[in-house]
Amino acid sequence: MTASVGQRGVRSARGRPPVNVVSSSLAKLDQPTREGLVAAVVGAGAVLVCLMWWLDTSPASVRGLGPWLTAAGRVTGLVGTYLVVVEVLLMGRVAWLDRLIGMDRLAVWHRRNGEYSITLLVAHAVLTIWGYAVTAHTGVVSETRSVIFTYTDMLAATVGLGLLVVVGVISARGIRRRVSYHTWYFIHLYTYIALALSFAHQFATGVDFATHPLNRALWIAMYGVVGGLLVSYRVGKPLRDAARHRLRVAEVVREGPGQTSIYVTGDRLADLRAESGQFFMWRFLTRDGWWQAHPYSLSAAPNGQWLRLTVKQLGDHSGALADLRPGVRVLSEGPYGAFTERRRTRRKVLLIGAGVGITPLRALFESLPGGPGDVTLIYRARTTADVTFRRELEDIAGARRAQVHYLIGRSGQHPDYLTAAHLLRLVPDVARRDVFLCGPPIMSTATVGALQAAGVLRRHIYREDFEL
Amino acid sequence: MRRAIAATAGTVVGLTALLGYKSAGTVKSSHVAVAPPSTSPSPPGSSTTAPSTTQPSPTTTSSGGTGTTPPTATPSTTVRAAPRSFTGEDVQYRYGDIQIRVTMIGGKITSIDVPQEGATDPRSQSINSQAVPILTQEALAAQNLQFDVVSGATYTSDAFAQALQSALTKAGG
Repeated sequence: MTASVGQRGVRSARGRPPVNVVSSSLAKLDQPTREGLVAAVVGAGAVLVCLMWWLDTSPASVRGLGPWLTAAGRVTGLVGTYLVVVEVLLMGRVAWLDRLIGMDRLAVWHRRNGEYSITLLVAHAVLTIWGYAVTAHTGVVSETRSVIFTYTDMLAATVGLGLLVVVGVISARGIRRRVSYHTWYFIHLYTYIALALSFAHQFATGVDFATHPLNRALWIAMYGVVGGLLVSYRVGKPLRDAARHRLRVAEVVREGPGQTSIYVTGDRLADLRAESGQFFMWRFLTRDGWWQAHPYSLSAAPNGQWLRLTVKQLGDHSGALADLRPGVRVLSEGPYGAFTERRRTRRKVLLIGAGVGITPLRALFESLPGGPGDVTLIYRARTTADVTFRRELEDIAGARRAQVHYLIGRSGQHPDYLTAAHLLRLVPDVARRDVFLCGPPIMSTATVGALQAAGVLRRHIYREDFEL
Repeated sequence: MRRAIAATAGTVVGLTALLGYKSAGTVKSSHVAVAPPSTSPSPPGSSTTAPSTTQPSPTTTSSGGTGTTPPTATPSTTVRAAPRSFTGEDVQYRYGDIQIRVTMIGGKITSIDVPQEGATDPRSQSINSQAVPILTQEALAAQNLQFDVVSGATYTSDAFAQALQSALTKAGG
């Protein structure tokens, strides 16, 4: 173990990173308001897209079954495409979106919007071809053939739609579990190919663009802006960070059964501006693992000398991390996550962590400012062996005179510990605290209910789910 | 599942409402009085036919309702308001060809005829048979090239606009 690793529990030396006024005032709004704000902006974009169609369309061209179906196909195509572009942006690791909503919620949005936008695009294809068939008095099959093979750029667009459907199917929850992470990850990259393949047909056959240069310019600008953000945040920033910080594995420490901590060092770590409660997408440059990046929270407050992540062995990747050797180069994307001190609005804080969800709370427990009794931690685990960081937590608790409560036991065996009555017994002043909550989604949802029953307002509950 | 049903229902209702309102809108051409058709259609290529019935003054705007006159469409030769026909080039496009003849009184397009219209296949023919009358109506209403494309007939709309442009250029030149 290196000398620096011995300094566990050292408070972060640097101050809070400066943020601009707009984003910090937005951060003071509660989570539902911020999400509503972003949803409203996305919705307004969809209205503008519909407006573009409205202004370009003559009432006469929507009369009759065939034209009506074709027009419905146009609207679903325009809105569906807009939402697919939004979809890519949601997972684009855009820093300000992350600060506003949080990556975990963005992932939920991404899943829902993905299902919806792909459905709209399938409807677009079906309605358009059906409308053409009705107008031309032909069969749907022959019409499909003629649209795909004789219209400009339609063959490519058809392949693109097919790829999107494959991505959608593989991400559906029932199937996602049966597919390996590798397969899922690579198939997701098809989305970019699908977007590229379907790009041209919009301008060759789309009436809103073929003869309207302004619409065309705006539409291309939409692709351009999102593409620029993606390149900047997914490629540019990680490469800049890699050159600047030169991260590498310093130490791999076994914390308990199936639990491993990895210490990462590098240059100018303070400039990363990581905070307790945040996570990075980590990419360990080993022969087998270099191509995949995984999200792991910091499990200790960042201190300018090392970053620590702690992994529970769940999949093939997290198992392989236990075998990492010191010196392995690391690429990081991040820091991400809005689950930080900045959310806090009250002096007293309750942290609730369940299972592997303890990691960001372990870091927050260490670094959240506060006097004796201001910070309390509840740690929910299945068995005593599953409790990670016990020594560290008790050291921190002793040093800052904070309380830690362990709730051990399998869920479902008896009435769960995390009920309103039990919470009030453990933390009588819970209603006057900010609550940071991290764990499996089902447990978190139940706990939010219990907290509200115990008198905590929803806007004082900050929740991070492990479902990336 | 409940969310999926809600999203689907919401989309269908929204889409139906949007299209319903759109199709219920009035076509602009209905506001424009079109001059009665001339007694004998002029043969393609002919430049002037003197009608015996109507000779509205070019300054009268009451019949047209719109006071705007496209600058390109002002025939330079006429002093008195006699209807004149101009036939454009036969425009070839991917799914056929189209030629347009405009008849103008003063600076105003009073009728649009399609002396030549061919389609490469039955399907295109069927599309054109619906699209061309709509395009004609729209162009008459707009009195220039700024009219909407007909949904599902992009190529035809585009070719129609070119053919009309060609006829108007003749009128202007």
